[in-house]
Amino acid sequence: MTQSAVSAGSGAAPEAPPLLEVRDLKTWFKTEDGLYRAVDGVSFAVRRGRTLAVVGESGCGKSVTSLSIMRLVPEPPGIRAGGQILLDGEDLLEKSQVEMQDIRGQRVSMIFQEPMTSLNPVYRVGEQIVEGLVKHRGMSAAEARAKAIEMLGLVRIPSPESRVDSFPHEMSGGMRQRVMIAMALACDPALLIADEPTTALDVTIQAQILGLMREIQARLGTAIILITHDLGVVAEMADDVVVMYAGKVVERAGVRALFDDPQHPYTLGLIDSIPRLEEKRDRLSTIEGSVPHPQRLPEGCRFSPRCPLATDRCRNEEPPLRQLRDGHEVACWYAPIDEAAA
Amino acid sequence: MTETTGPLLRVEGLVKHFPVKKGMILQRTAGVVRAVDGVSFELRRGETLALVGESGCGKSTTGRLVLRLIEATEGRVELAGEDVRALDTGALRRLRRKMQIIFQDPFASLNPRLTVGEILAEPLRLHRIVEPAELTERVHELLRVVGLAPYHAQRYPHEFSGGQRQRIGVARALSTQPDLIVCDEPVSALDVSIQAQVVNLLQDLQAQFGLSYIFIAHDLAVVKHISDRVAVMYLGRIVELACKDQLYADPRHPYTQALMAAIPRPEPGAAGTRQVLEGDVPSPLSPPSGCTFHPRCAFAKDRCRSEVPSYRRMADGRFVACHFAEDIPKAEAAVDPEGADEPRYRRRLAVLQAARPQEPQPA
Repeated sequence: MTQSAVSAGSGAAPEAPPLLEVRDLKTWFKTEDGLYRAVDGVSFAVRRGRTLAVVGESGCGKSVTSLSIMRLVPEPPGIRAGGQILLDGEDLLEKSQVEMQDIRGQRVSMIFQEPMTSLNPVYRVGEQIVEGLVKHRGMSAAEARAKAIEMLGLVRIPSPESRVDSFPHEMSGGMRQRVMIAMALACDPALLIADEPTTALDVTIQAQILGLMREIQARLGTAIILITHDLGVVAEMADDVVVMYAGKVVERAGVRALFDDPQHPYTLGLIDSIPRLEEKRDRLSTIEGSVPHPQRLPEGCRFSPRCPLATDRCRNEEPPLRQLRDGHEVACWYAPIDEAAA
Repeated sequence: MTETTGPLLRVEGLVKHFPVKKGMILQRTAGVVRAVDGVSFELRRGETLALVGESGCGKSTTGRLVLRLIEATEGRVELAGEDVRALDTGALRRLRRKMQIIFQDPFASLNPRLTVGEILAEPLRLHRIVEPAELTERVHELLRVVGLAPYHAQRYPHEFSGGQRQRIGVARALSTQPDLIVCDEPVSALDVSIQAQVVNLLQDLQAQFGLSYIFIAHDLAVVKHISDRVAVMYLGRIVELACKDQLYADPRHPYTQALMAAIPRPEPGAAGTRQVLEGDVPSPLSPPSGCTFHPRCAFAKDRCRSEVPSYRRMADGRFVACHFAEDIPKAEAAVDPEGADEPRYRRRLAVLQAARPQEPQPA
């Protein structure tokens, strides 16, 4: 297994170059109150047919990262402050908005957390799927409608021939999210970005949607970037994981390594604070304090004010992301901490 | 309140039907949504009863019916022996001192134009709990109790993070020294690390003040940490009510089993084997015949399609509404219960935990 400097993978075929490579991405926002460094030097890579999970709490920059890839960050106030987003070697940050319109929906698609707000309430769901097919694939109306029905069937909407003429409000939350997935995949994109796709859904429906995404990925070979705060969803879906904190990547690893051998104190705290069904402790572990305000980012390591192990070095000097072993990188001066403390 | 024996709260046959109107001018009732359809339970002093279920199961409506924030269609609610549904406005207001609520969304439930001090002083003044001269002191005390600082009283809600705002909501509920707090999804909107802080706070306060909680949630893992007993709801009814240990060790209702199986676990590879519940929750406007869960139930038989299962006590003391609760096979645990964690993870966690107390905590 060979590893390039920015690969997040483990176990992919060595010859396959990543489909998407994000290099040192910086997306800032200039507001009346000052500069927000929402995404501040983020790098990762996604390979074809694999799932990369981007995890972190609110405000860590995970959603801004995904919007940056789609070039959906409004400018102003957004600033492309640096970095590259290479899709098959082409830098998306250099594209014009007109060029991006051809890329969005066709090569990269996105599904959002709230399917009700991202479907147009006054159009039938079929019309919304057809729109992209006619525009990107140049299909006739009849061809596009047939394809829309096929896609609704693929996402297991019962009786797709009649459901194609339903309005979004006539569907349940789970069905709407299925429609979103059908729409996103209609033009067979190479990359699907799913931003908290199941957060608004009940657990039994979440299980259905996650199963559907896995199945479709296996069939179509779509690469997925899954943005989530839920480590349970990560464990279930991801091949590789990027953990973000306050606009930075703090740890990057294969999913097994992340859960079995987590290195960064933030990752450890995050895993430890999830209540689990199969354990008996009465008290939950917490990470003290809260995420820093984006304008009052601490000096040095951004996690240092909440880290029980922080020393003066952590408070003054920002730790770089460094490789500990193949495909496992961490931004902490003291990783691996048990060996450092021993 | 003289009665100290017996349960703090008794709920019997609680029903709430919402009429659905059609037509804009000449409205007629087109049907009823059976939001809560015959719910009975008891809550002991100092106990936490969780109400869990998916959206639309009636858990929040039940919480609001108990506090009489909405009026029930039928049924009886008794708080410390007093019939809550029979009280007039004045008596109800006096009783409200003893029963409070914490809402899910700490952003929407605090008045943005009041300072935190004013928010907390309002119930104190309304219920004449302290002398006006002691108001400030009492507000500061409340803030300290929930882990905030007295100087926070001058600030406005928007200056706080989600977790801190939820602490303010908790302080407001505590201000009237209640016996019962209905916690309506109090941690669902919070990040996991913050969620754990608030859950721990609620547990500490319960131990300190002897509070009883009705803890409404959809997350069975969080519920496991905070509750003594758990009631699982589906389409307006309780389908299973049991002690926490009984329920998690061996859920008897097929819906409880499915709900537990659906939770994504933070263990890579655990997902492969589980049974996924098919279909959606049916509309409460036209619930299925017989057992309302039968169209999604893997064990449904003819009897389930025609006969509504009674809510009955099983031999082990739990309540269940399933004809075949005794015969349903035990759910397979997706993960072995103890110590699936890697030693490397455990070792590192130990280092972190050892380092923790030496660090001064920011307020």
